[in-house]
Amino acid sequence: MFLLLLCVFLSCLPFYLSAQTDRQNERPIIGVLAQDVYLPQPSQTAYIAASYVKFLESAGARVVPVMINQTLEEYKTLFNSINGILYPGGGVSIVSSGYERAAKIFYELAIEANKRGDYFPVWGTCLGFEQLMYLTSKKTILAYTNTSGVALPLNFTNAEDSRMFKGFPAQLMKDLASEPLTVNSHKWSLGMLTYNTNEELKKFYKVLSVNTDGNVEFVSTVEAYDYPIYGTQWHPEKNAFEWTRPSIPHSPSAVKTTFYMAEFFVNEARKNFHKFETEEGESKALIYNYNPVYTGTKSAFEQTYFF
Amino acid sequence: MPRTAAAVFAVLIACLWCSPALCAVGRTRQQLNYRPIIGVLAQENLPWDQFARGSSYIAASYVKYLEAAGARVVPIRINRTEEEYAKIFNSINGLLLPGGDVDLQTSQFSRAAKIFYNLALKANDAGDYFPIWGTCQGFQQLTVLTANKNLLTLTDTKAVALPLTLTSVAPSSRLFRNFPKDLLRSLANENITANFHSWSLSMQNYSRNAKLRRFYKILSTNSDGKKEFISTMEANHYPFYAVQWHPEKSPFEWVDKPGMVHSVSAVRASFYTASFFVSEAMKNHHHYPSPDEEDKALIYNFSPVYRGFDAVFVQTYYFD
Repeated sequence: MFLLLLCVFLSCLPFYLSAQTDRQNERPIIGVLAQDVYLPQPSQTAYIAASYVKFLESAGARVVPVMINQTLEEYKTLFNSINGILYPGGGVSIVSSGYERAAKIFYELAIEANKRGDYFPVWGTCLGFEQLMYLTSKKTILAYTNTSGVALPLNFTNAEDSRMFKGFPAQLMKDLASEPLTVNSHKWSLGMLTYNTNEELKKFYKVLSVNTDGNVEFVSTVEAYDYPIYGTQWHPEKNAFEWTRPSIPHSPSAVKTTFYMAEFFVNEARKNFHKFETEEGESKALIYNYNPVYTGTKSAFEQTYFF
Repeated sequence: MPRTAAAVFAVLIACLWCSPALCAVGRTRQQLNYRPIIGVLAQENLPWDQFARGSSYIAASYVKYLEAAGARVVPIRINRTEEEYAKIFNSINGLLLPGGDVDLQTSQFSRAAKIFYNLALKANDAGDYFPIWGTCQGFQQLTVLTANKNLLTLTDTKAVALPLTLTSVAPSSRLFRNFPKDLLRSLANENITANFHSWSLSMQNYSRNAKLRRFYKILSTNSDGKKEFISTMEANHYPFYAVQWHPEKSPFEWVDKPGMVHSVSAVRASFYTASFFVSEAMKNHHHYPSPDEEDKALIYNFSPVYRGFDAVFVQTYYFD
C-alpha cells in the first residue's frame, strides 16, 4: 500500500516540478500553423499572416512555421523541438483540412506531453479557437453571429484570478472591460448555450470572457482547467500589426492588449525545455528563412508569408 | 483666494517654462494620431559586413521594436537632398536614430541626422510636436548635434548587461513616469540593459558643457568601474529621448554573447520604452500626401536578409 502511494506521489512530481520551477527557457521557439491557400498556385499553397509572427516575436519568442501536409514523424520531431504552438485565424475547415490534421496531431501530442509533466502550451486565435473546441468536443457546434468586423470590450467572467489575466495591469483590465479593444472578425462563434450544454467543453475549458452580437451570447476567451491550452475568438495580434481595416483599434491600450496577451503565452512557452537537435536544424526551421509579401494594398493582412 | 492666485500663477509659470510644443500638446490632448509612422535612419554599410549589398542598412530589430509598440515604419535613406528629407519629415510622425558604427560628424548618417535634428527643432519651436529617439549611436549622435562637437570618451562597456542607476528625477520624467513601478524596480536592480558601446558621454563631459547641460536632463547613469556615464536622458524642452543601451535587442536579437538578456523584464523594458516613444509620435499629425505615397514608403516594401540566428543582427534590411 505504501509502495503504491509512493509510486503515485513520484509520478505526480514531474508535473508539479515543471510547472513550479523558477528555471526558465529564455530562448523559446513557438510554432505557428500554416493553412491552405484558397486558390493555390505553385509555391503558394499555404500561408501565415505575418501579424501572428510579429505577435510572438514582440514578446521575446522566435517563430517556426509549421507546414501542412507533413508526416506524423515530421510533426513529432518538430513537436519535440519547439516550446509551444499557435493556431491562427483563417477560413479553412476545422473538420477536414491540412490545418485541422496538423492541429489535431499537435493537440494530442500536447495533451500527452502535459500529462507526463512536459509543459507544452497551445494557443488558438479565432479559427484556431474554434479548432480547439472541435478537437476537445469532437463536434461542430458553432452558431452564426453578426461579428464580422467589429471591436468589442470583453465581458469578463471570473477572469481576474485566471492564469491568462492575473498578470495584466489593473488599468488594462478596466480598459478591456470598457473599451472596444478586441477585434472580432468571425461569422461563427461558440454560443454560451452550447458551451453550457456540452459536457466535454464545460469540463475542459473555463470561460474567461463572453460577448454578444445582440442576439447570441458567445464565448470570447477560454483557458483549459488542467492544461496550458488557451483560446480567443478575437484577434489580439491585429491591434499592433494590422492597419488595413478601420475597425481595428490602435490606441495605447489596444497596443498594450496585443503585448500582454503575447507576453502571457510566450511566458507559458518559457516553461518548456524542448530544443532542436542541432543548431543547423534550428536555423533552417526558423521563419527568418522566409520573407513575407506586402499584401496590405489588396488584402486584410499587411504582410503574408506564403509557402 | 490666495490659493487660486497661486494656482493661476503656477499655470502661467508652467506655460512660460515649457516649450511651445510641450504646452501645445497639453491643449490638444484629445487629438492623438493613432496611425503613427516613424522613420528609421539607415547608415552606410560596414566594410566588414559580408552580407552587405547596396550602400546602407537598418537592423530589423529597430523596425520590429517600433512595430511591436503600434507604429508603422519607413526607412530613411542616406545620400538624399535636403528637399527630399524635408518632404519625408513632413510625412512622418517621429524619427529613430539607431545604433551602429559610423562617424558621428562625417558620415552620411550624421549628415541626415543633422538635417532632421534641425527640422525637428524648428518644428517643435513652432508648435509642431516632433519626437526623436536615439539608441546607442543614436544617443551619441544627438549629443554631438547638440554640443556641436564630439565629447565622447572611452568606457569598458563593449558587451555587458547592467541595471540603471536612476536619478532622482527619473520616476517623474516624461519617459519613465508611466512605467509600471515593478518595471522601474527591475531596471534599477536587474542586469537588463544591454550595453554594446566603447564610447560614452561621461558625467564629467556632460557637466562641463553648457549646451548639453541646458538641453538634456539625465535620467540614468552607469559606470564601467572607473568612469560614470549617462545611460538615459530626455531633452528639457523638446521631445527628444535617448538611451546608450539597447532595449530592442532583448526581444529581437539572438546572438549568444555577454550582454544579451532575454528575461521577462528585459522584454517588457523594450515594449515600454518603444511604447513611450510611439505615444510621443501619436502627438504629431504629419501624414503622407497620398495613400499611394504612404504605401510606397513603408518598410513592408523591403525584405530583410537572414544572416543566421547567431549573427549580431539576425535580419538586416539593405538599401541601394
